[in-house]
Amino acid sequence: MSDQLPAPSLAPQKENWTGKLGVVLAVAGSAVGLGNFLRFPGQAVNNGGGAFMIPYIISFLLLGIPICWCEWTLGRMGGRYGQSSAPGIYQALWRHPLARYIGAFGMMIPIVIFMYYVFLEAVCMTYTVEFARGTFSDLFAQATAGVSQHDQQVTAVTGAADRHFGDTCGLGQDGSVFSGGMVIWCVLVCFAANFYIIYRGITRGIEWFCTYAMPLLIGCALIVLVRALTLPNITDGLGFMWNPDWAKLKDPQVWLAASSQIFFSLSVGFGLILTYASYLRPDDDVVLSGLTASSVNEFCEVILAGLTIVPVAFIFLGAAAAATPTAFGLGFVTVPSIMHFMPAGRFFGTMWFGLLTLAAITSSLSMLQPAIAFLEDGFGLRRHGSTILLAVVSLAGAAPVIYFSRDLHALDVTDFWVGNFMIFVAATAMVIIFGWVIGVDRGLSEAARGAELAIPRVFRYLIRYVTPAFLLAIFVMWCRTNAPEYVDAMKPHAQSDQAARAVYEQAAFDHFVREALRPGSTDQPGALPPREQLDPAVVASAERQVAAVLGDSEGLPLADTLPEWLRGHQAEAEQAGADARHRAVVARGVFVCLIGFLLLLFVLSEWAYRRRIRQALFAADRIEQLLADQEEDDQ
Amino acid sequence: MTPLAAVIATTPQQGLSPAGAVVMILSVACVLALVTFCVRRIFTKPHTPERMHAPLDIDTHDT
Repeated sequence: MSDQLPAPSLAPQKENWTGKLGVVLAVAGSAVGLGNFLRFPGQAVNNGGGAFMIPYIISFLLLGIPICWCEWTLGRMGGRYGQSSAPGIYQALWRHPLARYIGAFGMMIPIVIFMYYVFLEAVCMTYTVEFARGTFSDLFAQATAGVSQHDQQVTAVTGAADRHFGDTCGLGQDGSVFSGGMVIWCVLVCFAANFYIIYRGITRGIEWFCTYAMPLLIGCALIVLVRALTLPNITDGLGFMWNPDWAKLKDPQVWLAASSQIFFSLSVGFGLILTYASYLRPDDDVVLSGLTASSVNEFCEVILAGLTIVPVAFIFLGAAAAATPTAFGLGFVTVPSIMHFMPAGRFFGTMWFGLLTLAAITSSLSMLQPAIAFLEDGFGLRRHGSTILLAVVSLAGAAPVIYFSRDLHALDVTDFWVGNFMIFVAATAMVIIFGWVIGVDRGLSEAARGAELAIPRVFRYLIRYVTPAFLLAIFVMWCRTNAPEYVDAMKPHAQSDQAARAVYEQAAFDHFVREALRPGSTDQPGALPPREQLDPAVVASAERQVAAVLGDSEGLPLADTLPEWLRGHQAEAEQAGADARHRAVVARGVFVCLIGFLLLLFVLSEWAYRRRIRQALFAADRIEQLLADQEEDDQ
Repeated sequence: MTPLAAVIATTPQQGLSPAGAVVMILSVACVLALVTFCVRRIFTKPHTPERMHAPLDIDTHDT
């Protein structure tokens, strides 16, 4: 416990959290979201099962906790100067023009994430309503009518769930979400709910909502957990999830997956906690509160999610469905399918998706508050003005993301650049500002003010050296793994040629394999076995012949040079090329819009600085000087 | 709906290995210990008053 004198606030405080529990639940609510319940189990089971926990815990200690404490401390320090948005807080703590631009960079992340997160929130809400109304029961009953074998039932149910997810999200065609399905109404309800809560303010809105929503969410998840752990043969499912594959620890990708999971699931480093912590009083604890919020997040992730979805999916659907690597596949296809086979599945399905909706709302609220704070601090807008303006901007941003729903491509591209790439940059900047610009000694001394838990001295070295180095290492590794794919995805001509060539390659490969297996029957469209089940010699021979026909280069062969039997696939290849070109144009459009939005935020940050932030900091500096002089006189 | 027992009977038997059980129990125990420690501290530590005002600070409006 710190024995320092109380620190006076240097600016009129607008609003404060009413209690420590309120802020802890709000921050925990911000961290506990869809990533905990849908992403973690898939990551763990595909990256070594129980062995995944070793890099995961190491990342929690070296990455999660240090960044969390840095962000809480920086936020509270900025709040003392009357600043609650990232540009204002960074500017208050580092009087350099670059500070407000780094702040703008950090502020963009939550706004843009909200634009697509609200859609996923709406999908969860849609599923909740559909489970409650029995839509899924009818759908699965129809899909399994006349099917008696369990394996066939699993195939029918997962297929129906997959198609339903595609229809709900408009995966098949751009704009189909707007054709009047339930999900678009749920988007509007989620928008209205989020902005109503935000409009009510910190204590009467966010704190009030999280105080009820978080215990309710955890209570629902505990009921689902008890149901899961009391299923017969659950140990088989637990074995599938937790039996360690130690060999996986040698794979760098597993370490990357574990550190990314910790980093994204704690929601640290990109300004959410910065804003929430700015509403603390200057002597409120940040160390115990930060650790508690992180531990609640881990409780939801490791215990409530880790012991539930994958083990239950394994015993009902088998290994293939349980090991679905994508969060969407696991969450919106596997889980509804489980509920068909589980007793009282309709009740548990409603409860599960209800808790996911609550988790999503508590997270999305935290994404709005930084922008609200920026509009209020930087431009002097009142709460209703800032809420309406932000609602218009976020609706305008969400509309194209939801419209270009085919394969969720726009959402995926936005998530890659903002929800992954920019978060890495913002978090690295934050740790460097804390450890090197402000100075780790001053920073930790500030953290110790009012702290109800002492930060071990080892964190001094961790924050200064280990955490930034670790962050940079995983950032570089992550970029090397993922960035080339997303950069290439923005090249329309190359993407179009590749897609068209892929059609020709597949057609030619099938042709030569048929020729090898059934000489003289190459034109008959019989089904071929999957490539991995074919004789390797046949595959190698077919691949050589494909290369001879299409050429070794990756470009699209000229139509005149194609053999007669391949020209029949020209229309299919052209269609694939056009689709790929469209996807690339969408990806490029999203990227250009993001860059434009970032530039706009740079301009707004500069404007806000000149308009209000500079004067506020000047006044705070004067008060600080007067207080210092008074203290000197007293001595 | 397929009866639960019939469904579960068709799933492959894998079982929780001793190593898996140890990792799972340790992970769950660590997280539970951490969250219990933190929540207990949050609820047991009384929040100190923001500022202690000495009697001289209090303006009684006496003239």
